Amino acid sequence: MEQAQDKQVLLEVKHLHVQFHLKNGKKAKVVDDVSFVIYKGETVALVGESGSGKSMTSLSIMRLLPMPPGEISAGTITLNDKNLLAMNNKEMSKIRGNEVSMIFQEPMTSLDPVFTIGNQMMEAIRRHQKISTKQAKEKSLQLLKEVGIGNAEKVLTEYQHQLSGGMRQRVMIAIAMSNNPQLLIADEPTTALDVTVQAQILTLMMKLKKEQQSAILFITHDMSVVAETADRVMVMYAGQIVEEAPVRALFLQPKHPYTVALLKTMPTLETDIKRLPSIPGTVPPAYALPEGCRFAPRCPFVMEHCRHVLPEVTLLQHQHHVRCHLYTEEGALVNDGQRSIT
Amino acid sequence: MTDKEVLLEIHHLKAYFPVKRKSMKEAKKVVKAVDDISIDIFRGETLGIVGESGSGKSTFGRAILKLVEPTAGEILYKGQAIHHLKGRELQKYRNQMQMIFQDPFASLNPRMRIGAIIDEPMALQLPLTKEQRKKRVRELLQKVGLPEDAMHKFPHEFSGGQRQRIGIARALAINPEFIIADEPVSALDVSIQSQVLNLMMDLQDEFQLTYLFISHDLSVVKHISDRVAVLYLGRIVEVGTKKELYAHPLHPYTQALLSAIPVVNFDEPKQLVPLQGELPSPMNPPIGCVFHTRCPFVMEQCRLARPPLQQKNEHQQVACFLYEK
Repeated sequence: MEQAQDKQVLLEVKHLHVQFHLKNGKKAKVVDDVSFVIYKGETVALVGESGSGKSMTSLSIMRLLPMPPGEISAGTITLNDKNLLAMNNKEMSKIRGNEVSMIFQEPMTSLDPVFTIGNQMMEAIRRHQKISTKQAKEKSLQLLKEVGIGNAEKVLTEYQHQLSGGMRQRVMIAIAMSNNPQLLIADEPTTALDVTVQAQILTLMMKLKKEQQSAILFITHDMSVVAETADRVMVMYAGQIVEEAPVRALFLQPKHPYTVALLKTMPTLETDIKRLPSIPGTVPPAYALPEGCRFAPRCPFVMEHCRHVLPEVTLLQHQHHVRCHLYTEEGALVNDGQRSIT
Repeated sequence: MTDKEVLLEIHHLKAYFPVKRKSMKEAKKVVKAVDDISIDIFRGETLGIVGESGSGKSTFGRAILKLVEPTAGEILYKGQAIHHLKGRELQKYRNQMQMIFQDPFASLNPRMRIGAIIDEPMALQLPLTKEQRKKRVRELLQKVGLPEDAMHKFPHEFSGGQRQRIGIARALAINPEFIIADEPVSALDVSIQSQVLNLMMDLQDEFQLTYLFISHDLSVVKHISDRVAVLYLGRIVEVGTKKELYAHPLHPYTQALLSAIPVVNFDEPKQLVPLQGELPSPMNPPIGCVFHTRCPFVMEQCRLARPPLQQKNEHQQVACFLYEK
């Protein structure tokens, strides 16, 4: 992958392979040869349907994969030139919540029900910063105010069940941002929330990102959220990144048949058609992947070649990568000249 | 509108739930999940119900089926009051309507085979022999796009989208006229979502079904509905034809909801306008207009009295003092 001169690489994932050992002896390849780069201060969206491996990728970065049955079988993950996969638990705990922090989909289960909000915030702060309890409390108060919680002093003494879903997610964001992380991984942060609350949380995240100049890895299945927030987008399907592009290019000139189909199938406020186009079939399970291209069984442009040979990642133009035989050299040889799919 | 036949008339429907008190001294409290909803549902249409969590949209659907007992109000089905129906009469009413549920994992009995799941409502409601029912199960599976041998399998062998198809086949089994779909596609991935939506629309054409389509997703509701009602804290704040409601939302809450949806538009990027504050507790809803605590156009009278739902133009009704003359 080429590099822009003015951008500094923050995180680099190279040829990451994650597999799960199933009880019946089979192996499930949940992440298969995933490579990408996140530059400092940018927002990258990772989109895909359930089971595409997007959460597994993010858990690998945090080294939070359940191991066993999970296993990172190959690849490297480097953050600021440090190899995360070579770190022991103690070293890793200095990274988590400090240089990289994460917010999850379900704000209900990601806060501890038996500690007050204040307790949990102060723990997160004092774990990585050498300051007194009193200072940590002040900092917590200030953080809660920054994420738009009005009665911060009261919230500090409350438990998670006393807060609404939107409030909990605000608290989670406050905790995640408490140590000025360089990378924030947000795994479906607004999926469990109502649209009006989602708008509040998205606006908040973008504001904090600007102030703290953190990079965000935004994991979601919602393409419209991607369009509003991301600088670059990576589309994942059955464990692989099938297309990667700057946000505008991805929406306006999608190249991979899966991306094209995904954009067409989503109902939006603008579309006014009687029937939605749909993608026939379902995502193949990770323990029974097709031999060639993963999308071949559902692809309207499938060629015989696709069913046998997995396409390599091809660079089309600046920052626009695609994993599809319609764009590879070998695919072009067997393709009868029809290269346009949109 | 006048040429359309009214299938269901709902007058002043209320569904309150008592809340446990901490002591006898405390005043009795109720959650007003559905608070005075009146609406007509026409034959063959899809009425979309949108609202955020806690707005009472699911309770509204359940109250129509008498799955929760309405506290007050009247429901007329083809002109007949159903409030007092019991036993066999109630069953007769219920076999004209069916429900499709949100969670395709929880709404199918994991220990029953698909054939038995689809057969059960027929065995209870229709005077058919075992052979006839078996034939019908096959037909239904084919209608919803599942292979025939699915009838011998168990729910866990199917994906979310396929399970939702099974739920639809079960709902269709007794030839209902009216189907309440409570968030039928919310648990599904986008590529599967459109398959199920298309299926529901095809079946509607084929069997002249009337849908009450409950969802929090305004884009999905826009796609499938003819008319849309917006609920806030148990009340309808606006109802109108899809086209008018989405193009010219009248109620400030509808406007806020629509502006909160992210859109894909790079030429004229839209600024998200988040609504301030939080949804008030339905246990203690604001006096006057329920939306006045968050409304950007709040006036003095909004805090005092509750605006009635009034016809604003040919296509829209709105409950807001901004439109009172």
